[in-house]
Amino acid sequence: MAIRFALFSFMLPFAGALIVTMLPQNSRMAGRLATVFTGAAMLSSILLAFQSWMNPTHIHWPWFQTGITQWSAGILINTGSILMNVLVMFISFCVHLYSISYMKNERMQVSYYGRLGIFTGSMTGIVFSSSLIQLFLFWELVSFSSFLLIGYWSENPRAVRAATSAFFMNQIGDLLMLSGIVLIGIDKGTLDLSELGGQGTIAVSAGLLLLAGIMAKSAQIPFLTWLTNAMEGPTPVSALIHAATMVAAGIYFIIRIHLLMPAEVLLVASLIGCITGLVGGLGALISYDLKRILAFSTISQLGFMLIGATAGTSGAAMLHLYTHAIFKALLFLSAGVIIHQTHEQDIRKIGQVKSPFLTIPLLLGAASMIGLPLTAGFISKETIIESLHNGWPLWSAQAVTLLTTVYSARLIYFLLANSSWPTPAVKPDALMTVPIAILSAGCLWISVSWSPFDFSGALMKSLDEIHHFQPGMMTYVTLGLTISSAAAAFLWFRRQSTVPGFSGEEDNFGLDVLYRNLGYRPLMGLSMVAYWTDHRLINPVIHFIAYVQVAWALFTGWIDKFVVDGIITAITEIIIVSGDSLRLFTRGKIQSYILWAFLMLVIFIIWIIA
Amino acid sequence: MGLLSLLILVPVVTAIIMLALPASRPNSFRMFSLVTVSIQLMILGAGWFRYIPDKPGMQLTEHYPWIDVVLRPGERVHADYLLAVDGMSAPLIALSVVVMFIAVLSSFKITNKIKSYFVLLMLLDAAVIGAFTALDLLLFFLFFEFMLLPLYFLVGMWGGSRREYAAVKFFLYTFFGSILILVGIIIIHISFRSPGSADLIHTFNILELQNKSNTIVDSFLDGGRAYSWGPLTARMWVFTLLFVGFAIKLPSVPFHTWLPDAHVEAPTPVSVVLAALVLKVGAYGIIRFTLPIFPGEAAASSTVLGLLAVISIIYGALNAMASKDFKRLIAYSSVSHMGFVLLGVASFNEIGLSGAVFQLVSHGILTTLLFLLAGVLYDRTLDRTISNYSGLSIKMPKYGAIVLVTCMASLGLPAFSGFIAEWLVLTGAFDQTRLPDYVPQWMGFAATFGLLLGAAYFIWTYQRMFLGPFGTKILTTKDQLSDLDRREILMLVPLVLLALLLGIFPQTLLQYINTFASAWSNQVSSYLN
Repeated sequence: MAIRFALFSFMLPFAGALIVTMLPQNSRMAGRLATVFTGAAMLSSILLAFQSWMNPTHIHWPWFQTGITQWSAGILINTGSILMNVLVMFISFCVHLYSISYMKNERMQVSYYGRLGIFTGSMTGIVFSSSLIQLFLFWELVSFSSFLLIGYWSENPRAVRAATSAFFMNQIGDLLMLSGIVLIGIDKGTLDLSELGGQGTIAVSAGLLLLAGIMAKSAQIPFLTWLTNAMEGPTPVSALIHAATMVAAGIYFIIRIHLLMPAEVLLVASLIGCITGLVGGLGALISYDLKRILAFSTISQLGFMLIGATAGTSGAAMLHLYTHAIFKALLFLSAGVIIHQTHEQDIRKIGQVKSPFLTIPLLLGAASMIGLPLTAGFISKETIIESLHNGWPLWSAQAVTLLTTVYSARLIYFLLANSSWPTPAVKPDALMTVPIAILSAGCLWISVSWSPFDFSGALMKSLDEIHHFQPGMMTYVTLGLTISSAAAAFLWFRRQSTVPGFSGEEDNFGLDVLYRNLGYRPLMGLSMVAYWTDHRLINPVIHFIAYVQVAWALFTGWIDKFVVDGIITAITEIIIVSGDSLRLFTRGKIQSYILWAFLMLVIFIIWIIA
Repeated sequence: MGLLSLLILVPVVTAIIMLALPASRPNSFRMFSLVTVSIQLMILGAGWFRYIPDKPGMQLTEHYPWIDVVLRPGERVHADYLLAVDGMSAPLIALSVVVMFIAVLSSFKITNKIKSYFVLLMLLDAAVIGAFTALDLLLFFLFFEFMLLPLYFLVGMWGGSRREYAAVKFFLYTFFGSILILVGIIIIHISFRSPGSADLIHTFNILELQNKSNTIVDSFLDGGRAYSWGPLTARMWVFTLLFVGFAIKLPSVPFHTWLPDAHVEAPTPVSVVLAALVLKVGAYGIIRFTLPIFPGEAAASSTVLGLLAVISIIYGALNAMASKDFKRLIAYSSVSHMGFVLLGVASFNEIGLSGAVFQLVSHGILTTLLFLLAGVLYDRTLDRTISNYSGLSIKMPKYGAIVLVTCMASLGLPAFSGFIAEWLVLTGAFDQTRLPDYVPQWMGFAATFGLLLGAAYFIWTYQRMFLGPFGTKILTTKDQLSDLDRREILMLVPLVLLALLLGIFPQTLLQYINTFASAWSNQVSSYLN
């Protein structure tokens, strides 16, 4: 039964996408139909949670076979995958609902919901995949549907460029990951996660290759540029894919396989998490673009989760993945309302947002992101901090927390408290309010724990059955740091006349230019070299051979004409000449006959005498 | 008469009948050809039911003596009419029949000299299928050569502006390859004998040739005798002759420059047949004839083969990236993708070989799609320059969608057949459990890099031509850029579904290939030890 619910939540989005694409392109039905399908998928994911919570199931079927090796595909249900599935479906449902209103004036309704459906189904595929090759299949489908969704406004060249670069960046990671998976398959003879689990850790090289795929998908350094550029896509898409789910897939994957990863790889991963967390935090701190602030913040939070997953405990990282998805989706959807109505993304130009339908969600989301007590974010963040032992991961995590506090304070202050001018009546309509309200409720502590101060109150107990997390010394240190830095930030912002920040981050700290010079240009140069080799090196050789052939043919033709034919002609000439001269004897002239007869007679007489 | 002979004979008969028809009624040739390929499809269906995938060895065999010449008392030259299929040729024959069906459908756009066109196309059909079924080396060579002539005329008479150059280049290149192969075949023929007869019967039968105990003692190819000519042994020379001959057809860099010219100049259906089937004959020749006769030599040179493969993959991809013509890009992508076939062969293990065969079928489907799609645009505007278009998917949404899916499938997106092939080939290439290492590990990574290049040129091309605001740099009338019509959808969508089917259920194809691959690997390893 459990398997059936898992299959439903996997198939329904695809089925929805298929049915939606059969509608006429601008059909108003598309959004509602797709929402119904996603809702049904969400329902079955919740039913699955009730059925199989704390009751792991694993079934797998042979997929294909080569030689004696069977490559399997299957469904692996455990607490992590159930939670992730519910999360994906829940956020996807909210985004669908929100999109009905947000996207109602778009021309390509059917394309939009079709693409969302493919994405949601593929994401569920990643969540439940029981073998690495099957996981890779959905991993790439997610890249593909992300490409489609970022490039949804295909007439906007910036969106198109962002889509292409996102796909290409992901492809780099995916192919490294593919070679890692191939190496594991050869090494272990199986790619089934549960069978691999019994065989110890994988080789360091394979682990690093897998990590590359994880880094690309979760927009870690040095891949992070694709995520900020992906903000060119529609805002609901950013909320679903580039905040809550797709980018979290990398973290989810490393949580799922962290027992297989050798310690060296985990160390590298946590180092990368630290750097990314700090860089992303800095980016969020200095950006002016509302969506890019949120994107950089996502990058930073993903780095934070990566630290938690690799240096702390995976359960804590999973918990933060969950809370982050909710508060970040909330922030994006609220930002979407502002952008939708003001057509402005620059926080210097938006002005003051006044509607309580927006201020309360924004405050709740930011509080959860900062990790103020009574929010879900507080519990997950402090759990990660508590799970980190002394050392650089802990201090980096603290630094990331500090940065998070300051950039969140900056965002909130200049959107809500900066009263230079009010924005004209920005307020979500009913269809937008519902998902925003649901997500706002999800930011409260109750969504993860019964008691706001018992970290292992409910959800965490299932995610990590061994440890019990309680507020400890580090919690109070972090809390003190957070509150004091938030207060200091507010005080400082009050004295500023303009929004502090830099506008130099549009090219992602120069990384875009760097990649252009290190990747695109050399590739184009190489391709020119290849073109040149074909046209100036290989073809001339071929032409030369052909000309030599032709010259040889002409030469043999000449030999034929003047030597072989010449000899023949000479022979015939001789024959003709001799024939002609012989013919002289038989011309029928009686005088010549008498002459010859007379000559013969003379010769005969001479012969007799001699 | 067996199914295989029937499969070859039906188009030949059609060609003869069409020769007798008056040229004034063009539709009769279209219909005749369409009926012929439909009959072939039915024969294929009948063969599918008769063929047992798990049974190792040859099936549907037809074996008659063909040529028997007494050289001197006790020594005979012998050739057979021997047709049969196994797990490698069965998928390739199925591919040929399907692609030929599509090619005939797509040929409906041809309007000049229709009679000769379809006659030649039917002869080509017979020759391709003959090459995939013949197990007698002489018979194979006959079919192999017989593909050349129709192709030369099809490119040279119905092609684009530089058709004569392309046709002559194609002919010279491949004819040069044929000569190498012919010399090789002759040396093989005089060095092998049929077993079980007191007479010395020289054989062309590949089933006998691949058994080294049939080598004539003291002949050129007698491994124990080790004749050497110059730096290489006689066996190595003959292996090289055959390999280079087939590598020209494959094509492998640096023997590939006929391909872009021929593919670009050929009319759409002929490009389809060239890329989807004729290239496969080169690979087929390597897997069927070259390796089984010379496994030791192939093993010894597999690092070189791997190197050629990797160069083809990367070099072809780079050239595709530099192409300004959409069709030229596709042609170079073929070079790159056929490199994967060679890499799978070079890795010299079961999984790599399965991957190579899988890639043959997969590339056959995907390149057919790509060439048809290039043809769709060319039919409408007579221009294929990539930079002349942007935002095409706004005017032609269905076309844009199918191009996107096909590009994705070609760059190796999972759920499509190309991914399974790449996966198998890479697994074969990375597999270093066997000693000695036939293909060093860096080649596997280089091939992966080639995949990245593939992603780059496909996605950039799609971006440039189909995304962004709509615009063309050529004069177009209002409804010149119409979306796909019904005939085009009928050709394209089944192929997309086929690629999807093989990507999601690879076992449907692998069950055939596995039997062949495991038999092959047993045989080769028994030979090597």
